[in-house]
Amino acid sequence: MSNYESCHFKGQRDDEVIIHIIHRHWFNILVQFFGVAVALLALLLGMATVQTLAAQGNIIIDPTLAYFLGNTILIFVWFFGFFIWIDYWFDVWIITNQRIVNIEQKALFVREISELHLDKVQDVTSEITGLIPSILNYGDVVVQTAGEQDYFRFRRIPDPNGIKDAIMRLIQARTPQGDLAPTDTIKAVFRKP
Amino acid sequence: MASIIFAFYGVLFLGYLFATLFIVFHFSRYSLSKTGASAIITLFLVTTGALLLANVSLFLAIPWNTVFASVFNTSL
Repeated sequence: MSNYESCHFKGQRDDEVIIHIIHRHWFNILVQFFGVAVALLALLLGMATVQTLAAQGNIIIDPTLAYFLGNTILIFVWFFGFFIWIDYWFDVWIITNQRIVNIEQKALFVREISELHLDKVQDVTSEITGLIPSILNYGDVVVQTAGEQDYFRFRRIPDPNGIKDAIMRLIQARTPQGDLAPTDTIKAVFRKP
Repeated sequence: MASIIFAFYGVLFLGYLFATLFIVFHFSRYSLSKTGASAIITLFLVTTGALLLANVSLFLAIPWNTVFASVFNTSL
C-alpha cells in the first residue's frame, strides 16, 4: 500500500491521518475509455480516407477543412476523455484513523461528500457479483452504521474482501473505551495481510 | 457570411476555454495529491494548448470562399 503523507483532503482534521485511499477498479474506466478509443479509430480512418481520395484526385472535401474538422473532433475527444477521468479519479473513499470519507463526483458540477465515524460502524460486508468482477477481483463493500445514514457503499472497488477485512481490523484496533489507537498501530493493523 | 462563421467559431473557442478552466479547476482544487495534480495539469495544458493552436491555425487557413462556392455554388 502507498504512503499517503503527501495527500490531503478538504476538511481533514489536524490530528487525522489518511490510512488508505480507494478509487474504483480500473476496469470501470477501461469500459468508458473504450468509447474514446472507438472515436479515435473512426477519426483516424476518416482522415486516412480523405487523404487517399485526395491523392487519387477525388477531392470530396477541402483538405484543410478536413484537417480542421479532424482536429476539432480530436479536441472534443480529448476533453471528453478528461471528463471521464475526472468522474473516475474524484470518486474516492478515504479511510482515516478516525472515519471513512466518501467523495463522489456525481456529475460535472455535482460533488457529494459524506462521512462515517469508525465508532458508528456495526458491520462490514463485501459483494462480488458477476463473471468479470470475480475474475478481476472487484466489487462493493457495504458498511452498516448506527447513524442516520444506515449504510455506506464503496462501489466497484478493487479487492473488496481485503478492504472489508482491513476495516474490520481497524475497528477492532480501537481500545475498549472507543479511543483511537496510535496512528502507527492503526496503519500496521490496516496493512496486516 | 464570413462574420457568421467567425462568430460561431468564437463561441466554440469559448467553449474550449471554459472546458479547459473547468478541468484545471477540478484538478487543482480537489486533487488529494498536489504533486500528481501539478503533473496532470501540466500534461493537460501543454496538449490542449497545442491542439487549440493547431485548431486556430487550421481554421484561419481554410479557404472559406472556395469551400462555400463549392457547397452552395456561390461565394461569400
